[in-house]
Order: sequence, then structure tokens, then C-alpha cells
Amino acid sequence: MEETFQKTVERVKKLNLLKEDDLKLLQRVDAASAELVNSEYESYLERKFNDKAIPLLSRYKVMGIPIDRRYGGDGANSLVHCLAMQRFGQVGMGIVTLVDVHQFLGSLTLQQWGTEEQKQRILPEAAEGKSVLAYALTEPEAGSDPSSMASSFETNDDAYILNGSKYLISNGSIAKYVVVFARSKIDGAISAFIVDSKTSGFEVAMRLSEKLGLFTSDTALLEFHEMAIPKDALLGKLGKGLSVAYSALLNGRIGIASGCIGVMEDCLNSCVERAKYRMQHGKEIGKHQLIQKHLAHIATDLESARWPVYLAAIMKDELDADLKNAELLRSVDRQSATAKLIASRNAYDAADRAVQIFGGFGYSILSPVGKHLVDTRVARIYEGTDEIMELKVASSILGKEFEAYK
Amino acid sequence: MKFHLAGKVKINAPRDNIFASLSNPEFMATCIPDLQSFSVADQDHFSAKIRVGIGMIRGTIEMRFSIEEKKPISHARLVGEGSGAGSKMRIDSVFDLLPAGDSTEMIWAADADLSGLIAGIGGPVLKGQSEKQVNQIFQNVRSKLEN
Repeated sequence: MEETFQKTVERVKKLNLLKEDDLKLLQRVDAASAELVNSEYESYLERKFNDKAIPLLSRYKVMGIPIDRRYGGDGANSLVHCLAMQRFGQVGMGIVTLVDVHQFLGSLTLQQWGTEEQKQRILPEAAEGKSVLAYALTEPEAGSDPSSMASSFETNDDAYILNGSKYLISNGSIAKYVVVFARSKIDGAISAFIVDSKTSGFEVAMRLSEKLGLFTSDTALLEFHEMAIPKDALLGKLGKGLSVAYSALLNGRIGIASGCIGVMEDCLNSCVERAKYRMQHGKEIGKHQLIQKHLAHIATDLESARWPVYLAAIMKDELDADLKNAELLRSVDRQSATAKLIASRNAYDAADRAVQIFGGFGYSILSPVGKHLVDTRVARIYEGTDEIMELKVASSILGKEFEAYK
Repeated sequence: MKFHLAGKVKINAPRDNIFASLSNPEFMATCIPDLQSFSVADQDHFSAKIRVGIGMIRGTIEMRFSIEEKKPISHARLVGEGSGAGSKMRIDSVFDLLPAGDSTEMIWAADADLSGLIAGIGGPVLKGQSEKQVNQIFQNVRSKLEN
């Protein structure tokens, strides 16, 4: 195992929070991550989607980490899933985004809200990596406020007819199934659907490559033109789509936060290596106090983010065993927002400090810490911006009537 | 910046053939990907100009190699030193050939010491890229010796 990851796994194991099966799974995740480094880096240099990632993750059987064993997955709990995402984060946020959307926003959402028929039809394929899942909530005019979405649906005797567009959809052009949200033309209530991307009227309007970073992850603009989907594509109850959306984002935020821990670990490892061999002013740069200051910042920011993220995962496991506990749901929602806010900010700052330690080379396209800098910035935006996370935390302290983002 | 690589590869050829080939600079030259030029000083010393890089980012390095500690037909050490593309590198590698039925198992290990531009790429990526390069060399060795 990668040394930093092994230390973490051993530390968590001492707390009696890991079983033998979990360790085997994490070993597969570690091996997959070690092999992913090459293709991820090469794809980044060429500014293109890493098309080797899904076959590789499937080969190591890590596409179905949280999917119940009944459907062919590992059935890992949130903490184990969080550790896996942490290891993927060392490789980079491109892999984290692919896996987070497929597993947290896609598979787990289907597992929680889907019918038995939907789960039996889709989850085994998803666990094997034969199908990739995506999550389509954001629209060109509806970002932090999903309730303002314009995508709509009508109902006829045997189908829902969807129209609209979805923007910045990770895995959007490679997904076989997409969790789609749309508003009823009758009463305006939002519903969730699981849509087969081969459905007539489903169009990948654009593969979005004009990003600051995250080139190795697929991002698309989707359009739906009179797209007729069967009635059994409804996910959860009619008109209760925002509950589905928010529960998915709660999960997803833990995934992104976990990935950010891995980014910080890789930045710290790279900087320690650099500080020990790079000579300036007649000594290793690690012997200069201002370099040590950067290293200390990264290391303390890493530890100050790590445990809030693990706590969010542990609390999510408690919630999974007590799904109707509304008070616990609010606590987990707050912890998930807290974890993402801290981890994504700290990871971006760690990458920035790492670029500074690497000096001119840090600014080169060849620099892996430079890759982290451009790839991690989006973690402060997607699945809830820093500002929305702050407002969620504040309103959870003040009370529901103080929700400033509504 | 230093890192260590190690591995083993099975080659369906007798040990004496493999040893003779691996200690023959002219044979090795045919197995190095992206070789631009090559010259032999004597049977244990040669130099090579190699295009190296990742993806579309490429440069050229000039390496001087010496074959040391030759113990026919089981062991050899290959040391290479060179510079180019704003970088310097030294690679110290050993090969041990063990009989494995009709085949031969080659166990190898290498210590790399890099400085300059290329060192900035850092451990995990450089190690991964180096392993890829080494695997390509061994694949070429195998395909030439097994056919």
C-alpha cells in the first residue's frame, strides 16, 4: 500500500472500525490508484478525458464500493467508502469526480430511492462498471438554487415527457443512466427520474472541455427534447424530487471532502520529497524556515480536515441505520457541509502552497501539484459552493427559519 | 530525487541466450524505445541518445552506460548516467537470471537518482512512467528472444 494511506488504514483499524473485507477492498483501491497515476497524468497533459480509468477501475472491481452485495457491490459503509475516496484523491480530483458521481450521486441515490426492479436492473451493471451513472441537477440558469430549475415534464397515459437542459454534468456523455430532475408542468413540483441515455430525445449537446482544470473528467451539457421515459423511471415519490436531490448531495459532499483529504496528502508527500532534495542557497530548501512554514500549514490543515470528514462518514453510517430520524439527518447534513467546506478549502490552499514550494516548476504544466491546484478549485464550487455550505452550517445553528439560501 | 524500482519477468528462452543478449550493447539498443542514436565504445561501455517524455512533452537525453559485475550466466549490473532536457540522472540496476524449467526468470532492481527539471515531476508519477518504460524494454527483449 502507499505509505500515507497504509498509516491511515492502520490508524482507523485500531479504532475497530474496519473489517477484514474492508481491508481487502482498500487494498484493491490502493492497487487501482497506483496504476491510475500514469493514465491520469498523461491525459491531463493532453487535456483530455481519461478513457482508461473506467476499464481499470472495473478490472480492480472498485466501481461498486457502496452498492449492496445483493446487487453485486462491496456493500462498504460510508467510512470505508470515504477512505477509498481519500486514496483516489491522491491520484487527483478527476478520478474522485468520476467515482463520486457514479457511486455517491448515482448508485447510492438509486439504492436509497429506487424500486426493487430499478435496483435489480441497474445496480449490478453499475457495480461491474458496465454502466456509468451521472446526476443531472444543475442547469444553465439554476446552480445553487435547484428549485429554480426550468426542465419540465408532462404526463401521458404511459410515459413522462421531459424537456429542458442540464449543464456541467459530470460523467454526462459517458453515462448509461442519468438521475434527472424536472418540474411538473401542472403543479411545478420537482420529481426525480432515472433515465436511460439511449432514450430518444436524450442528447449530449456538448462535451465541455473549456474548463480551468479537471480535464480528465467528463463534463457535458445535456438536452432533452420531447424525451418520453416510461412511468417506472420515476425515482422516489412524484413531486418529492428535491428530497432525492438533497440526500444525494449529502452523500456526494462526503465523497468530495474525502477526495480532498487525498489531494492534501499527495501535496504534502510531494512537498516533503521536494524539500529534501531541492538545494537552494547551499542547503536543502526544507531547511529554510519559510518552506517549513508552508509544510506545517499543509500538515495541520490536513489533520484539521481529516477528522471532520471521518466524523461525517461515521454519522452517515448511523443515519443509514435510522433513516427516519429527522434530527440525525439535520446533524449529518450539517457535518457533511462542514466537512466539505473545510476539506475543499484546505485542499485548494495545500495545492497552492505546494505550487509555491515547487517554485517555477510548480507553475509548469508538468507539475503534479499544479494539476492538483487546477483540479481542486472546483471542489469549492460543485455539489454546493463554499457559500452554500456556510449558509447551511449557519442555518443549522440558528434554526430553519433563518435559512438564508431559500 | 531518488526512487527504487524492482520486478521480475519470465522469458521463454535459455539463460545463456538471455545473458549474452542483455550484455550485448547492440542487442539492447534494439530494445530501447525512442532511441535516436547509439555508439559502442567497447563491449562493456556504450552511449545512447534517447527521446524521453510523457505525452506530448518530450526532450532528449544522452546516457552513458557501463556493464559491471558480469557473472555469466546469472548476474550483471548496468549503470547509466546522463543529462538532457534540463535534467540529470543516474540509474544503477542489477539483473539476476534464474532457471525456471525451460524458461528463465529475470529478477531486476534499479535505483534512480534524478535532479533538475524532471525531478520536479515527483515520485508517484515518475515511478509510474519509469515502470512503463522498463516494461516496454522487457516486452521488446521478450519478443526478440522468444521468437
